[in-house]
Amino acid sequence: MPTSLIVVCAVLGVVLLWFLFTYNGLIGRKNRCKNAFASIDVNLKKRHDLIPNLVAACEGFMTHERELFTEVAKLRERAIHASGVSAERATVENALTGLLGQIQMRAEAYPELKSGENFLHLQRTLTELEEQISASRRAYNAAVESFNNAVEMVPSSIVAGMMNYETRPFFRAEGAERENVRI
Amino acid sequence: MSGPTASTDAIAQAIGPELDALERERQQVLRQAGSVLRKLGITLPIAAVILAIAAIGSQGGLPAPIYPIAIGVVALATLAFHFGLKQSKLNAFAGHYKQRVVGRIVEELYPDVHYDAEAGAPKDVFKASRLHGHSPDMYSAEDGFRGTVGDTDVLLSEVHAQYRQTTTDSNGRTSTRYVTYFRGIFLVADFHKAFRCTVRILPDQAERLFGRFGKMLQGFQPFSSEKLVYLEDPEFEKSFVVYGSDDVETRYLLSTSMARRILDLKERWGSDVRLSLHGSNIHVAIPHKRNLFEPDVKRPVDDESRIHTLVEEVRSCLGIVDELNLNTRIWSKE
Repeated sequence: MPTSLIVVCAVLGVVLLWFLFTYNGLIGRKNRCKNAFASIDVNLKKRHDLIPNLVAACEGFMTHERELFTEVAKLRERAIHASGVSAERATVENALTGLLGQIQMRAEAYPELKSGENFLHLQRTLTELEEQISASRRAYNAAVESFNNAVEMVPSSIVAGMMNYETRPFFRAEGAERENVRI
Repeated sequence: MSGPTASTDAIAQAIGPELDALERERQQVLRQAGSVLRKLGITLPIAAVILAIAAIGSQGGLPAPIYPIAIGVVALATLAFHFGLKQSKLNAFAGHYKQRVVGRIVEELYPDVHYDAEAGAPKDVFKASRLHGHSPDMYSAEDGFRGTVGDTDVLLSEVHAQYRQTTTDSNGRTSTRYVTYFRGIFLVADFHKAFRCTVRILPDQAERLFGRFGKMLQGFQPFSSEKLVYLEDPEFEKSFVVYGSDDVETRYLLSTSMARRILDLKERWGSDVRLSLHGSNIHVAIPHKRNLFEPDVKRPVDDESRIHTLVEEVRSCLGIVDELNLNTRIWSKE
């Protein structure tokens, strides 16, 4: 076999190997984004499920906060029907976080409610969920950053272009929600 | 007033009068230590006289150099005996001192914690923490604190762990020695959040030494269930490498504030702090060169500055629980 043919075969082999590694790496990164997003979804759903219990526990005591509860119910409805990573979804979820924080803050003025076992349990569960949402969002954003780097950086961007991959949006935490992370 | 905030002066004043018997024991130990050399001064001439008489009696039956050697052997044996005696008295005193002084300090500061100078963290607990790449072939632990700090169950002790290293030289001779890989404080505490994953937070040595290549090496864990997890805090990332079996849960446990607290812990102890989380507990290993909670036999037992130092040592070690905010129980785990 002539030397030139061996060299060409070796170069092609290296290119093929690189292509396979890059291709698989991109798929792995994409799947990490999907898994991380699924985790955000699960935690947000848990929070949506918890809201009626929280409202039911508070309504009887916090009789002057009807407007707040109505607003929470409306936002919950919108949040349940939102899907994917969109600016609108992030805004709704952030607003919901803010209102839930307000309920907990205003509950301080109702000692009977505040000391109730049921409310304390709900409060703990909600705090835990907020941290889990924050954690899954951080995991998602880290996965998206890694994916976007691979999509945009040469030479993996060549393979990403062939696979029609595009950069993915981050799931942003705004104002009040950032506060919740500092526990 | 007892509790973690009790003033050091109040503690020193509370326990001072209870230490008369211990002070007498200390003075006795000091006297015995001083008498070792005196005894040697008596023993040596006596040994020399006995050997001279024996030599005269045997009429030159023994070669001349045997006498100085024999005197040397007797002298060394006497020295070894007296130093051994002195050491055992010192150890006994140290045990009594720790139990009465350190034990009382712990009673005053943390009434729900029991101190035992002899019993440290069990070897299997240390091994299960997976904080080091080695398994201890030789292990010792002392100064054990067990109980509850606030709402958190804790076990803290001093640990010395060594692994066996066998080497073979060019002549095929093998030699074995024990290498210390950890000496310091080891803490196990109930973590305040419920979790199922395993997490290890280790000093970032590979990245410190090899930069980006080190980072790549850290990520190569083909046979481990734990994967490299990058946290957002650049300062934390520079100091630590994190491995977790679940990316999301690892971030849940290592919130941004927890990452900051771990950095503060490293800053305060100024050493390679290691942490791991598994089985609902957090494990912390802090290397420390100095042996903590030890008496100073040259100073009176009620010496206030010594008691102050001990109070600070106890407070610093058990204070790790609050440094890591483990008493904040706002999550569903109670």
